[in-house]
Amino acid sequence: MQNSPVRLQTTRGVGSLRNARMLFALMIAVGLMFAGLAPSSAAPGMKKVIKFGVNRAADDLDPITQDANPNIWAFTQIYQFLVKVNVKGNGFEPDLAERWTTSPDGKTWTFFLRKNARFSTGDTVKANDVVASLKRARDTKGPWQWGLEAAQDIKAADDFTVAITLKEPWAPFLADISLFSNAIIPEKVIKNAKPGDISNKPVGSGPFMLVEWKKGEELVLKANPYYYEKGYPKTQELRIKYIPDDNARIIAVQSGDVDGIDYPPFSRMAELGRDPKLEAQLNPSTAVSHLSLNNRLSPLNEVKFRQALAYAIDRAALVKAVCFGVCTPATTFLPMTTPMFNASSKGYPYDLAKAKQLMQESGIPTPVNLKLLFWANNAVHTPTAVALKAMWAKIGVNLDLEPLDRAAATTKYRANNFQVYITGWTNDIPDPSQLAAYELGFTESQSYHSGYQSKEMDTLLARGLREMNPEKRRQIYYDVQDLALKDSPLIWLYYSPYTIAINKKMKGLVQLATGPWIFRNVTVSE
Amino acid sequence: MSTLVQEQRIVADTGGRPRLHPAMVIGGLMLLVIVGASLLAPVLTSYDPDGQDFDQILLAPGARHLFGTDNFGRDVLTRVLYGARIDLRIGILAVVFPFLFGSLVGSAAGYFGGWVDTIVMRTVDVITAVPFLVLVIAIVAFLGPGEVNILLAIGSVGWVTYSRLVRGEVLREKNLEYVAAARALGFHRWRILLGHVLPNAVAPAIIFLASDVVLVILTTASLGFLGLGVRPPSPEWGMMISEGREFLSNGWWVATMPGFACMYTGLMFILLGDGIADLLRVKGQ
Amino acid sequence: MHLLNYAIRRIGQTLPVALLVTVLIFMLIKLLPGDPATAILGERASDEAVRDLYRQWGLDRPLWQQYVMYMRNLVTGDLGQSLRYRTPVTELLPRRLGVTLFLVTYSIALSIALAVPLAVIAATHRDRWPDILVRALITVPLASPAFWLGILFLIVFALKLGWLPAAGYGEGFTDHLRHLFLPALTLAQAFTAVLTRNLRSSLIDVQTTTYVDFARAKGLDRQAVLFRHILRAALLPIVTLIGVRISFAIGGSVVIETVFALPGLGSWMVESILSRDYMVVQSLTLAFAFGAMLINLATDLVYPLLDPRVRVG
Repeated sequence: MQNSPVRLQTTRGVGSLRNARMLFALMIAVGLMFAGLAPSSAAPGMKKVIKFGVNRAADDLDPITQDANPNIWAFTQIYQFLVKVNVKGNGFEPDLAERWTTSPDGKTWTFFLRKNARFSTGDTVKANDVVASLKRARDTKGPWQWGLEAAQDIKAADDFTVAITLKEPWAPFLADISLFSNAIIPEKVIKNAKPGDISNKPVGSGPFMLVEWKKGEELVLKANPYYYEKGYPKTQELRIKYIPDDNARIIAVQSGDVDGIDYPPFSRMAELGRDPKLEAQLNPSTAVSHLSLNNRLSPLNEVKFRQALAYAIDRAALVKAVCFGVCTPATTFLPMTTPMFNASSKGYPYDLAKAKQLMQESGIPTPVNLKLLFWANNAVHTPTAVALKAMWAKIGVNLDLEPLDRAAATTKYRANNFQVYITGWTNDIPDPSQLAAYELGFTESQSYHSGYQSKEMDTLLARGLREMNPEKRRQIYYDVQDLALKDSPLIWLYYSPYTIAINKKMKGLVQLATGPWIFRNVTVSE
Repeated sequence: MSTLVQEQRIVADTGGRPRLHPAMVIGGLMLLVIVGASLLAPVLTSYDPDGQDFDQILLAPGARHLFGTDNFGRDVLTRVLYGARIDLRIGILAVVFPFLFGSLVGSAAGYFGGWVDTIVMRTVDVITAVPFLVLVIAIVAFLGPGEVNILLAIGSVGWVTYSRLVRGEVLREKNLEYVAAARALGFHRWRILLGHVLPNAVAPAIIFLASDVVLVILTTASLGFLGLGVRPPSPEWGMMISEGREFLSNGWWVATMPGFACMYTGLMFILLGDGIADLLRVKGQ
Repeated sequence: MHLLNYAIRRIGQTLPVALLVTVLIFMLIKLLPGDPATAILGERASDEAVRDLYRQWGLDRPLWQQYVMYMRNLVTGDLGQSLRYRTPVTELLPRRLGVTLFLVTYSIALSIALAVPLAVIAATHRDRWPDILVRALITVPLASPAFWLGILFLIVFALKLGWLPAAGYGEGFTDHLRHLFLPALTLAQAFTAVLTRNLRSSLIDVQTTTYVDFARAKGLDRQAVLFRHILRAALLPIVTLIGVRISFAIGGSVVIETVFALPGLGSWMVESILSRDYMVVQSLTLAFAFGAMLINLATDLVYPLLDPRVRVG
C-alpha cells in the first residue's frame, strides 16, 4: 500500500471505512439468507403450501344457495357446523356443539357450544351467531330450505346454548342439522351484508380462511389464526387451483406442479396406481347414477315396460364401459353407503330373456322410439348413453341420443320435457330421508320429475320421518326400497366412488363420503 | 445465381403453357383412394362401426384390429373409414360454399367500392363480432346437435375470411393496367370482374381453402371437446378425436388414428389446392 | 388526407354496427333455452327459488326494458354483474383481458417468427426439395387438433423434461412468459402453417410481376428488392389473415385456455354462455365487436401502406 499511487493513498482512509461498510453489508446479506432458510412455523421438511388441482372452479361461497360441489367442498374448509358428519358417512361428531340433548317429548333439541371457537375475525362464536345463521338458512328460499323446515323455533338460551324446537319429533333432525347449508356465520356479517358479500368474502370459524380469490383460477386460503384447535391446520396455506382438462390436471400432479388432484377419470386410475410417486384413491361416496323416466308418457307409463328396460341393462358391462370396473352395479335407489341400505336386495340383475318376456306381457309393440336426454360434454354421461343405446336395441327399443349443454338440458328436464334423462345424486346427509323424499315423494320435485306418485309410498315416507325407534325405522326404509324397485319409476345404474390422486408425500388427506375433502390434517413433505 | 438467369427462369414460368402439376396428380390420387375406401367400407371391413364388445376394449393395434379398439371395443379402422364419408362431406360443404359465396361477395365489394363495399364489410364486421361459439351454442340449442346444424354454423361464419382475402386482392388488381385496358375496350363491368380480376384475386383464397378444410374438421373436434359436436355414436373424426382424448396415455390410437386421417386429408387438399392455384396463376398472367 | 377521411368515416360507422351487434346478441342469448337461475341453482332447486332469483335479477321484466337498463348502465361504465360470481364484470375483466392479449400476441409473434423464414426458403427454392420439405412439414401441425398438440407438449416439456409449468398463468411478467410459452406455441401451430403457405404463394406471385422487374431494372440488388418490395406487397393477404385470426383467436383460443388452465376471455365467454351469465356475454361481445372492427379498420388502413397500388374507400 505504501507504494500505491497518490490517488489510492488519499482514498485509503475512506477505503477502510468503505471496506467496513461492505463487510457489514455482507454480514447482513448472509444473515438474511440464513433467515430465509430458517425454519418457519411449518414443521421441518414440510411444505408451507398445499396445492390442490380441481376440475371445476368455485364461483360462490354462500352456504345456503349453492348446489355445486366445488363451492360446497371449498367452503367446508372455512365454516364450521353445530354437528358434523363423520368420515364414513354414517354418523355424527361434535363440531361447534360439544354435546347435545333432546327433550323427553323429542321436540326440543339443545346444543351446548364450545366456548373457545372463534371466527377468523377474532370474535368468539356465540349462540346468537348460530341462531342468525340457522334462521337465515331456514327462511331464505334456496335448495336447502328443507333442511330446517321442521324447526319451528330457534333461540339462544344463553351465550353458549342454542335451543331448537320442532313442530313434531323428527327422526333425521341431527342429520339435517349437519347439512353444510347450516354453516355458522357471524351474526354481524349477516346483519350488515350487502348482496354478494357472503358469497365473495365468507367469514367462518373453520381451520382456513379465504385470503385471495382469483375467480375461475385459484382460491388462496390461509390458516385461521383464531382456530380453536392448537396446531391445526397442520399446513398454513392451501391453494385450490382450477385445472379443467383431465389430462393437464393429471400431468400437473405427476410433474409436481400440484400436490394432489380431484376427479382423475376412471380410465386413468389403474395407471395412476402404478405410478410410484402417486397414490390413487377410490373413496367411498354417497353417489348413485340413475335414469329418470317420464312416467307420464306412453309407453313409459306402463310398469312392465319400465321393468323390462331395467332388466335389459347389463350393469356389469356398463360399469366396465363407464367406470373401467371401479363402480358397483346399483340395486336399490339408495347409495350403498347410506344408513339403512338394504344390502341383500337383488335389484334388477341383467336378464335379457326376462326383459323380452316383460316387453311381450306389456303389450307394447316394438320397435319403440325413445329419446335420451343428457349433458353434452360429460365424460360419464356420454359413454352411458352410447352403451344404453346398444343394450336397449336388443329388446327393440331405439334410443335417440340427445346431448344438450347443461343449462338447456336442465331446463328441459325441469319442464318435464323429456323421456329418459341421465342424472345422478349425492346424499348430503347420512340418512335415507333426503333422497327418498326428493325421488319418491311427489311434492318436492315430482319424484325426480318422473311424475311418480303413490299413496302407499307417501305413507311409508311420512312414517319414516317420524319413527324414532331405529329398528322400526330401518324396516320402514327397507319397505321403501322394495316398493321403489317394484314400481320402478326410475332405473338405478351404479354407485361410483370419488377418485383422487395425490403425491405420496401428502399425508392426512381425508374425503368424507358426502364429498368434501378435509385439509385440516394434511402435511406435504418436501 | 446471376440475376439474368433468374429472370429467364421467371419468364419461362410464365410462358403460358399450363402443365400437369405433380401436386395435383398426387392429390387427385389421394382423393380417389380415400373416397374409394370410404364408399367401399362395408366391403373392406366386416366390423360394425357401432359394434360394442366389452371384452375387447382398448386393444392396441394388431392383426385383428389394424387400428386397435376404443373404450367400447369398437374397431377403430372401421370407424375411421365410415367417418371418412362424414368428414369429407363436412369438409367440402363447410368450405366450398363459403368459398364461393365469400369470393363473389368480397370481389364485388372490392371492385365496386362505395355502398356495396360498406354493406358487405359492415356485415363482415357484425359476423366477426358475434362470437362463433355463441352462434354454435344457439344453433345447437334451437335445432339440436347434428351434422347439418354444425355445417350451418361453420358456413355462416366461414365465408367472411374468403371475402376479406379476395377483396384485398381485388383492391390492388383493379388499379392495374390490364383492367384499365379492358375497360377501354368496352368490356362490361361484371365480365371484367368475373373473367379477369377474380381469377387473379382468388389465389390466396384457394390457398387458404386447402388449410380451411382441415381447420373445419378440427373445429368439429373442438366443438366435440366443448360438447357441441355431432351426435354420438357418430364415427365423425373430430368427435372420435375429442372422445378419445381421455385415453391419450393408455389408448393413444383412439384419438391419434382419426388424427392421422385428418393429416392425410389435409395433405391431400393442400396438394390439390396448390395445383389449382398454380394453374390459375399461369392462366392469369 | 384521403386516408384520414376514410378512417374517420369508418370509425363513425363503428358505433351503429356495435349497437346492432349488442341487440342481436341480447336477443340470441335470451332466446337460448335455460336461464342463469336454473344454471346456478341446479337441478334440485325448487321452482320457487328459481322464480325468486329470476325476479331478484330483474329477468322477469320485458326484454326491451332489460336491454335499455343494460345500455343505460353501459353509458356510466357499468358493464353489469356476473350472476355466477356475483361480482361486477369490470372487476373480472382486466386479468382475463391481460391473459388473452398476452397469449394472442405471443402466439402471433411466434407464428410470424416461424413463418417468414420458412416461407422465404420455400418460395426462393420453389419446387425443389427445401420447398417440398417445408410444405410437407407444416401439414403436420396444421392438421393436429389443438388439444392433442397441447397435451403432447405438456407431456414432453412439463412432465418428462420438467422445464415448464403444467398449468395456470403464474404471477409476474417472467412467470407469465414461462407459463404461456407452451400454450402460445400450440396456438401458433395452425396459424404458422396458414401463414407460411400464403406468404410463400404471395412471394412467388410478386416475384413474377413486372413491378419487381422494374425495381430490378432500377438497379436494386436482390436482397433490397426482396425485402423492400416483394415482402411488403406479399404481406397484403398476410395482414388480412392476421386480422381475421386475431378476431377469431380471442374467442377461438378457448380450447387452449381450457387445456392449459389459463383464465382468459375465451374460456370465460364459453363458461358464461353455458351458465347463461347474460351480462358477461353481453359485455364481452360488445368488447369483441369493437375490437374486431378496429382490427378490420387497421388492416384496411395498412393495405395502402404496404402496396401503393391499393386504394381504399
